[in-house]
Amino acid sequence: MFESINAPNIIFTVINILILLIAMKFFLFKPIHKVIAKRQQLINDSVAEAEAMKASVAEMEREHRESLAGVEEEKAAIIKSARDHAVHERDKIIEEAQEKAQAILNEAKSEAGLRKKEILNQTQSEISEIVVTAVEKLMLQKQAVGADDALYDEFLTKAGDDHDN
Amino acid sequence: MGVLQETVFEILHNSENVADMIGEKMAVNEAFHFTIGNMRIAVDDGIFVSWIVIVVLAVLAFCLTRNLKVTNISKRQAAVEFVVTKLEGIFYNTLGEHGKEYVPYLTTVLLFLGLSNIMAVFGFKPPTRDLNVTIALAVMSIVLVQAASIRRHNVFGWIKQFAQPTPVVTVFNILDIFTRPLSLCMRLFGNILGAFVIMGLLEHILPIFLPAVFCLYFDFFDGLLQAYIFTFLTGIYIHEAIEDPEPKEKKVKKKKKKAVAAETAAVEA
Repeated sequence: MFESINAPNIIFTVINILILLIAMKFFLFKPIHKVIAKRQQLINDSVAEAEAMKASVAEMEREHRESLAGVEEEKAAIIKSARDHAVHERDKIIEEAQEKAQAILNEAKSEAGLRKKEILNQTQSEISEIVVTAVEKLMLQKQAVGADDALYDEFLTKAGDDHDN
Repeated sequence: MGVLQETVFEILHNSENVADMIGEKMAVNEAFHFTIGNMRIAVDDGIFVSWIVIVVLAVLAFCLTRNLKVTNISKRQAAVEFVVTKLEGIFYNTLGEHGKEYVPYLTTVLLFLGLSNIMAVFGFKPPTRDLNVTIALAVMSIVLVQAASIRRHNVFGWIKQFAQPTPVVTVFNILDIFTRPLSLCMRLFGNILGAFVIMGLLEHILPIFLPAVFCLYFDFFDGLLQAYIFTFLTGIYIHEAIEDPEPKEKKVKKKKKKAVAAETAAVEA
């Protein structure tokens, strides 16, 4: 068994293994390591890109929130302004309405006073006419039949009372 | 059972035949020879088969690593990447960060031994059944171990390492240079030769069923296990050779202690 040991065969094996090592490094390890490194680089880039995108989204979200908060404030201001305006308008309308009503009332009152005066004047003139007519009639009766002075005085008194009223 | 008994009896009766058969199995034959000047150089069959192994491995490596893609990889590429990274992973874990440059060598030897040890399945005599091959591998391993140690600790550090952990063991550490490759080479050679002889005997007893069953253990399991043991042990030896020596740490600690003491003295002053 041991007589088979010889230096050339050992050297051949060493050379063979070294050749195999070079071949494996060149044909197997190098391409595999290269493709794995490339993939790792791709993954790292993707992760970095995703991180950047995440940061950008967070920034956008923050800006969005800030703008939303601004919109809320703006909305509240608009509502407040609209409410104030509405209250002001309401008060103004009520005031105007009250003024109008007062004016209508005053107008109505003055018209009523005028009307009353007119009616009184009309009544007075009618009474005067009646009195004149009555006097005419009495005069005619007195002339004709003889007038009763007492009756005439009584009538005049009544007519004077009505006029006072 | 009857057939087996008859065969065993036949073998026992014809012990001379069995001895011849074992002798034939163990013998290293000359594959071919050439002459350089007056020197006749014979190439053993084991060496010749190792060339076949090398060619097969190189061609496989070449064919399997064509058109590698970064994304959308094929099943072939996925399998190759998986096997290579797993094999390398074994040695990365053993050697650590400082020994990563030795990983390709150990992976190559593992592939070479793995295929060499199962060559009997394909009808070849395993190259590792030849002592020349195992001696060469063991010598390479141990040269690599010592080279790694010198590279890491310089020549002075390497020599100093023989007196670690105590100077008493210096002789044993020096002896290790010879016993380690001897054990590596003999373990591999003995296992593969033993398996080859046993498989030969089994084929002689019952050529039909028995070899197929035992081939799983003796050729595949034992062959691959021995390849793993050989490279794993080499990895451990390299790791031992390149790990940081203790005295350095002690020195660093002492230096640190001195620095701390000096600082304390300065503060106190």
